Amino acid sequence: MAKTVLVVEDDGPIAEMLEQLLSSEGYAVRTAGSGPEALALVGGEAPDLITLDLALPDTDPAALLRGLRARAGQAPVVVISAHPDQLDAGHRALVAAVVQKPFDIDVMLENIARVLSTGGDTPSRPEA
Amino acid sequence: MDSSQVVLGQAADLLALRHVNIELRWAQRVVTFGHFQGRGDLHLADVLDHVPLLTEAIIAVLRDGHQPDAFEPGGEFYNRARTHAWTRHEQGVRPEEVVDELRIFRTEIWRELRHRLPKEASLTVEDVFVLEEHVNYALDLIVGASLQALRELDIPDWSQLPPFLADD
Repeated sequence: MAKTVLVVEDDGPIAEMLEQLLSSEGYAVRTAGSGPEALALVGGEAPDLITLDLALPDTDPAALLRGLRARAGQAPVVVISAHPDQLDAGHRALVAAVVQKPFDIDVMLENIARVLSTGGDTPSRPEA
Repeated sequence: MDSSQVVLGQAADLLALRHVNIELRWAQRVVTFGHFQGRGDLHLADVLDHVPLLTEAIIAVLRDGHQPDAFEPGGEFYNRARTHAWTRHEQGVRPEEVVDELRIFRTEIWRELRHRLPKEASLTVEDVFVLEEHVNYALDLIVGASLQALRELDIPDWSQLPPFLADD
């Protein structure tokens, strides 16, 4: 059965890009364009992994991250951000990997495959 | 075949293989930091537009050498650049932003070449200059064709378009 990835991203073209990339790799993809939408989706059927854009408008990224972790059970979170240093060390500990925008396709897919295979227990590979 | 021709062929193969990564990194940059920031009305296809065809034009120059006729009005590559520039105009993108997105495109192409050309290729200084001359020749003619195409529109007042916000 295909692993499910929830893409939380407000930029439509980037959400489309991630949806296309992940679908082409065989993942089942759901998308949420806002924090409340993401929290509602994970409150239903938890995905196997969440990708989270830190720069959602009108959203405290740390609070959203805590909310997703609380509601999504064991689903690891991969943060995608142009400014990943927004996360303090405490919240950094809640994420399985951080991918900086603009990301390479292969770096993104490698991170997601690695996190899904390990549950996010190993450090993320630095981007080239 | 001299070594520079071999390098041009390797670069063309690399761009053909990796063009999706180049284009998607470029799209992330213009959507996240550039003139498409906050443009929720656009889809990925709108942002990418003819950029993949422009990559093909660069690959063609690397494989087959300079093709000035193709970049002249009526030429194949000119028409691609013109369609792209006119689409950008319809999307409310200013001429300087069209130039800026081609600058970002250039950066991403060179990033890919720098990181991915085979290390065993052992490029000479001459190889790098020849490669630079071909890639930038194509990109500069694409910029020129884009601006020429925008002039063809004969827009009376460019100030009616949204302000330009430089990204980096």
